[in-house]
Amino acid sequence: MNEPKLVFEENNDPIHYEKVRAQHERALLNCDWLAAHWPELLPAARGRFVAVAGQQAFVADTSAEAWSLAKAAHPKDDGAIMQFVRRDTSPRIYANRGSLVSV
Amino acid sequence: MRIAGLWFRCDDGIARPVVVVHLPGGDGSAHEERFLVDRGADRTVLSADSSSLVLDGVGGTQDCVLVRTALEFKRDDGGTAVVRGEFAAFTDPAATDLSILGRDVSNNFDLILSWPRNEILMLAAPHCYRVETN
Repeated sequence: MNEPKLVFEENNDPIHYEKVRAQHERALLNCDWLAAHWPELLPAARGRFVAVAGQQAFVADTSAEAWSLAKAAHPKDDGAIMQFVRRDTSPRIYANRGSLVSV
Repeated sequence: MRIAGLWFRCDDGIARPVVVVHLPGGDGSAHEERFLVDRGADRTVLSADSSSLVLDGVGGTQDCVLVRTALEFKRDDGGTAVVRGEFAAFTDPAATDLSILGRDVSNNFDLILSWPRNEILMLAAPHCYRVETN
């Protein structure tokens, strides 16, 4: 198996860190909100995309639409998150044996 | 180096270990992406909805594409850890709801996934862990 060539670096610029930290904290707020509000979104969100910004959910049929709705409502929230909501609720086994190819 | 994650409660009510990673966007902005910490996965893979933000025009019928990007982790001690390289990205949104942090990245860290203590930690020098008996 060919191992990917990855480069590991550290960035110790305090100005950059503060920007990343603040964005990270805003993302955690949206994560916490989503984790606590799934019952309000389901089952309508299954098979669709949900974006969360400003601790508010935006559900749409495409990722672009969900993201646009979230960014339009909360343009200053750079901690917005987005995901596809699985259609099924069966147990998850992350063991995809597919190969990865470059295109 | 210490990077903290969280147990994220998914749509099925199950909490899974994730780290929130800073990803540069195709438009020059950056967004935050949740990666499932999967010690058994050989590769780090971006979800389809994430890759649509990283790259313009990802799509088509391929199972995945390769994208050159950087994963930036917020360190607890100030500063960030950056992993640059080529990463796979699913094109099918149903392939995974969360991006996946595989061993290509995670093998560079000690991983602590503790449900009883509600902790997700990625450790590298100078941080380390010690197992004690009370």
